[in-house]
Amino acid sequence: MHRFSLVSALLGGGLLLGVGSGAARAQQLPGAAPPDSARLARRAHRLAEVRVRAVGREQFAVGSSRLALDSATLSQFRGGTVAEALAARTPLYLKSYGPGQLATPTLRGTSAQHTAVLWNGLNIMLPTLGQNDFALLPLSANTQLAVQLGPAAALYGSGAVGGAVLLTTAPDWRPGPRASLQADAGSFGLRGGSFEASAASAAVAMRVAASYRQAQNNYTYLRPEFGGPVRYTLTSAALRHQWSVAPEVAWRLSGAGQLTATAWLTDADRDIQPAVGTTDRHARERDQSRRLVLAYQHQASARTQWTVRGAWFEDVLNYRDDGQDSRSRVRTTQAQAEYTAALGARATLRVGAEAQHFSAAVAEYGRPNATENRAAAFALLRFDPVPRLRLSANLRQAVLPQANPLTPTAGLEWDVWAPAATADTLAPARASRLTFRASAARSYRAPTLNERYWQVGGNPNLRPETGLGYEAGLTLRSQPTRHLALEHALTGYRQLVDDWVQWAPGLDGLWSPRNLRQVLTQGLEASSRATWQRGRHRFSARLAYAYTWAHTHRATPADPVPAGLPLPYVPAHTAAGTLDYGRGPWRAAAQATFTSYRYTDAGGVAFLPGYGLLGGGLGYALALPGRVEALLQVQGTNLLNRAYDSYEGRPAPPRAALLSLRLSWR
Amino acid sequence: MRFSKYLAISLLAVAGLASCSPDDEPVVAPVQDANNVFVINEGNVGRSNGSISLFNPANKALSLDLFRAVNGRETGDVVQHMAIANNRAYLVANNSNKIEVVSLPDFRSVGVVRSRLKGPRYFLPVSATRGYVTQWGDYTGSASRIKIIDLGTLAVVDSIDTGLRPERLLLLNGKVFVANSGSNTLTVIDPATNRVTSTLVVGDAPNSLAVDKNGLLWVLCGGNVVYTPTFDVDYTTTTPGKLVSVNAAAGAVAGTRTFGSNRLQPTDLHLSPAGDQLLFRAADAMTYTGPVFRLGIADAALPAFTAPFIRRNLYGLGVDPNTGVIYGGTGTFLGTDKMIRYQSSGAALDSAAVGAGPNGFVFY
Repeated sequence: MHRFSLVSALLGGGLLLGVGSGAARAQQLPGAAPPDSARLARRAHRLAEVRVRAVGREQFAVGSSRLALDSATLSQFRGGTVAEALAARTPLYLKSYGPGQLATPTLRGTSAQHTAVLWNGLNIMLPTLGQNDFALLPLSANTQLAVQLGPAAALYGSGAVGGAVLLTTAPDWRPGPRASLQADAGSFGLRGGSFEASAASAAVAMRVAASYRQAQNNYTYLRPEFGGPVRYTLTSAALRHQWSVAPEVAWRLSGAGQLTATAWLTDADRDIQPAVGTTDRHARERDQSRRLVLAYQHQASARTQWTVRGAWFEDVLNYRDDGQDSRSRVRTTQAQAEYTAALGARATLRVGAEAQHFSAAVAEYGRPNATENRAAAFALLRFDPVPRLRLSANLRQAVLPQANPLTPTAGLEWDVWAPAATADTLAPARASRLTFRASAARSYRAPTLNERYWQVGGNPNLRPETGLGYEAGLTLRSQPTRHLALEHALTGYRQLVDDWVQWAPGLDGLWSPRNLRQVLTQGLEASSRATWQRGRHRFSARLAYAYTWAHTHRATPADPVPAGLPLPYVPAHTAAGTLDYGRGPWRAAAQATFTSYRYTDAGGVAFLPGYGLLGGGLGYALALPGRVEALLQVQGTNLLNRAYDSYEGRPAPPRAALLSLRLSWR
Repeated sequence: MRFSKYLAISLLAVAGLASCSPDDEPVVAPVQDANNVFVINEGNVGRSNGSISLFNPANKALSLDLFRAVNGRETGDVVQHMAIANNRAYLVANNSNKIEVVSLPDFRSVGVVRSRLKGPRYFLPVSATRGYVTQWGDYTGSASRIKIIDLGTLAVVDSIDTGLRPERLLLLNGKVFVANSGSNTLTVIDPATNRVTSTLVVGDAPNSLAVDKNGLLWVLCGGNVVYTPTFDVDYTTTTPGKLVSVNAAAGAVAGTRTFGSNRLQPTDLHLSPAGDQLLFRAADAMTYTGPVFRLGIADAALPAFTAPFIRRNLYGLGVDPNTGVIYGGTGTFLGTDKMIRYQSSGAALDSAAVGAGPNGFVFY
């Protein structure tokens, strides 16, 4: 087995984030290094035993907030999408047109285009729209899902204004073959299945994950009409098919190199549901993405490491309805190189550069091919002068066709109280630890290809949006008893986004995207989490609440919307509570989410009422002969059968059930 | 356990927050016996957010969404038109394929025409028992005709073939004149028999009609707009608009004048209270908004598009038949738009926020 000696020189805390016990680490809001790892950082002689892992980029995001879904949670949503998992398990608000339909998040009051989506470190936002439909990202392909909250352009580049969603696959180096097969059946014609297999030797690790889903979505909803409410059945909302295949191969080459080839192919064919009360134009959309990444990581010395990545993406979006036939295909070529070095025992420096080339064939651009090049160079520094104080300072210089934004970030974490260092032992100290976190960051969003080229209205002179945000918070961790761990976090943030781009009619009445306004978002995030484990019992509870305030701060004279109005589809209050319990072969999960009212357009008048949802699931694992384990899961959503619209005019599904059977072999 | 108590309190607090909403009950200014201005807010296509705002010019009170406030549900998708007859208002929701019927003055829903309509546009009550509604089908005009509605049962009882994309219609001298905006004709119908009595050739794309103080019928023709494959307007083949006068009694065109430019499409014809001034918008073919022009019925020349009467680009236009106050609607479609009032001289008076896309005004 390869030993990773760089680790001792780099930061132990970071290396352990993805390796630590899943349940305890999962969904921890702040990016603070956990207490164990802080201790481990001083235990250099043990670190050599840690498995090979690159230093994650999140290690440079000191002082900012991060949400991660653990592998047990991802496993529950294996047949589903990123949209479903985030909506059910986090306080993030996703506006969703319906099951399998367009779903986009609003992170910290910003829009879908202000959420960077990275897959294995590479931006996969659709270059035409500058956003992702989270319902088109099946979870099966990924082994990790995390959300970086707040601006983080220095780390994640264009679009990381409200935050970034980070999808990652990691090779499974556990020796030997293993495989699992799952079948799903649910309400309203939902059928699906998934398959995952992996095998590893000392030199090669292979993994393939595939999933399929279809759904009729033919549920009923009530609608007020003349003479009283009328019950309708939803039509033109079927998910005709959605599949995802993600193979990955990793080779350990002689010396200290690792070559990884990863692909992710997705294909979805779905009806686009019309708003209720309007004419059905029989809209249908086909989305296909093909993503290939080749990465080579090299351990140059005990203290230095470099990585190069090359990627090729192709995204097809074909839409048609009774009156339109719109086809688009974008090819993205990306390259990334980075070099990481330990500076003394307490600091790590990473420098790197990346380049992207887009080539888009979109009929509405009025030209056969539209291209754009973007590049960026970055330097990331993490410095822990003493274990109680962790600092980072990052910088990215982007080169865009319109402007070259420079986006620095600075972060700090300071353990205001920390338990006295215990002897060389991993036994948990029962003392509390209070950590103060703060960060400041500039962010940017490059104009999308649609914003630049769309006929009619595309504006080639758009400037990139730029943001300046701050956040500060406290995290209190304690372990009142040997079995119980508590963590409370409170974060406040504020961000001004300037040159905010909005499609709006100009003085000539023509719709065009322009840099119309400055938007202010600010808010508070609070979370509490309890983890209790004793004997065969495992219990964890988490409650998270977010208050979000997003308004136009200043409007340019050309802005048809006056300053001071709230942004549409940003709920002021969101909350999520989750409970997970396991005892031997049994597991149970429950989740409750609340979303307050949201305005539905820029006028700040029309709104959708708030709603609360309850969901839950029960699972039983049974060991079968031949190293096979069967896991039977039943999950329910909208258990209180609330009628609500996440998006205007699109009734959300009523109470629904999903039954899954998974057979795992190892 | 203390934690569970904390959890329960937090959940309750959050539930309380989630349930609070902005002011849910809009102020309803009651419909007066007279002097009501209904603003037809078309709404955004596909969003079912069309609405009727009620404005009281005496005290400037405004109810933003009257139908919803009274009836607790949305008006419909693309509220194209509203017509009033016998204390009933007929609200044509184009993309909902329905006509909502409310009683006046309370604006309570009393019925709906919701079957056998496809892309309805404008409604005209032709007798105490019958109403005509023009319809297109889809935007290509695939089902261009008039549907005849029994005003008692609110059922579609028959239809009358027209030219392509019939728009506004008007009753004059016992005949119904229908502007066929997809062609260059008026269809003339005898409402007693529901038969087409004649078809008059006017100019390309007739869209609106008005009758002056002398009983002369004026027909405004927008001109035939041709789009390029790259979704722009091809001004080399787009024809200029025309203003046509028709002697309704004789059933013959009395005069035709052609506008000097094809850059704007004249549309939305209205008359001053005295019946001697014509007001209309000349709209851009991409934005459907444009400035307002005015000419006297005896004027020899058409106004040039370079010299508007009201310079602001408007989406909707109306003239108060009692006061001559001119009502304009902006067309940003960004949630709320503005109703702007002008004196009959064209000087701006005031403005108020209304729903998205105010396309017309009904004075009652």
